[in-house]
Amino acid sequence: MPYFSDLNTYLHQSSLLIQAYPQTTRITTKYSQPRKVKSSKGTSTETEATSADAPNGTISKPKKEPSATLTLKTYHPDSGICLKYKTDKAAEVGRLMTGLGRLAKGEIIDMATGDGGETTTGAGVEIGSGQALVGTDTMEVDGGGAAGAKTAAQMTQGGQQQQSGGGGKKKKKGKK
Amino acid sequence: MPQERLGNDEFLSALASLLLSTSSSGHGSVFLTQKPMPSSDVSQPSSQVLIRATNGASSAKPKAKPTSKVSKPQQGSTKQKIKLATVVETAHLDNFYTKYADVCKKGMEGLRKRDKKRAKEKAKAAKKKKGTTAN
Repeated sequence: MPYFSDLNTYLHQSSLLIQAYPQTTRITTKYSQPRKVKSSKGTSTETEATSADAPNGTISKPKKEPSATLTLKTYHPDSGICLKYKTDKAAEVGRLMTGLGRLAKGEIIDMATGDGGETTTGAGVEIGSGQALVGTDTMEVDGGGAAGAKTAAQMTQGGQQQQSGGGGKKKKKGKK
Repeated sequence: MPQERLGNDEFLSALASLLLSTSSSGHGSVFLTQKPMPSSDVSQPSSQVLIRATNGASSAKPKAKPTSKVSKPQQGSTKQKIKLATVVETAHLDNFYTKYADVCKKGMEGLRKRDKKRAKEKAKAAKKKKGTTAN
């Protein structure tokens, strides 16, 4: 099975698979760190130089090194269906985990906005769809956009919960 | 084999240390799995979600006793298999996933950070190109 290139597509497709087989579908997230380049080949000086170039990181990971990757798989063992998504962006972790939380609840995630398809939250959905229009390039760049999407997702979450019989309206999220 | 299950908060703190040890060792993987808690009653939708975490090491054999690990490391740096599991009630999912996401964000430090310099340039270019189509 190929990887999806877009997180929303992955989440959407996964939600459909989970809807079809809610009991047996599982999601595996793999965080994988590549083996570090051995410093025996005289790369230690190079490493120092690169880390000096980028003094912003607490981790002394030079930029040239392959970064860690995060691989998501939604797998249904009986049919063998496996949906995959792979990313190396730290900025996507938050959105991803929000998505996984919603998948765990069995929500259907809409393709365009990543919301539940309910239009109860006008403003939130607008922000979300605007961001979707801009495309992935701007998504990784625009911090405001990502935050907007998150709030949109949260708002929809609230709406979803209410409609599903208010299964514990826990909205005490530590706002930052 | 029934797996020992941790409480939600215990699980999260154990996961945090697992991620930390993985990133400090400089190499390795962490697998996180979520699926509905298998219930005896198939017709009823499960009200619990089972969440597991492991480092994927293959030395889960019972013969790898803690004593032998200290005295004679069999294959050099064979890692101890770490398995964590917790069960989350559907009602607590939101709360749990907020914390879960925080733990993951903090723990997965090897991922690429947003490059602010490049991002600014890109944003500028995008603005010039697209004008105000974004909003």
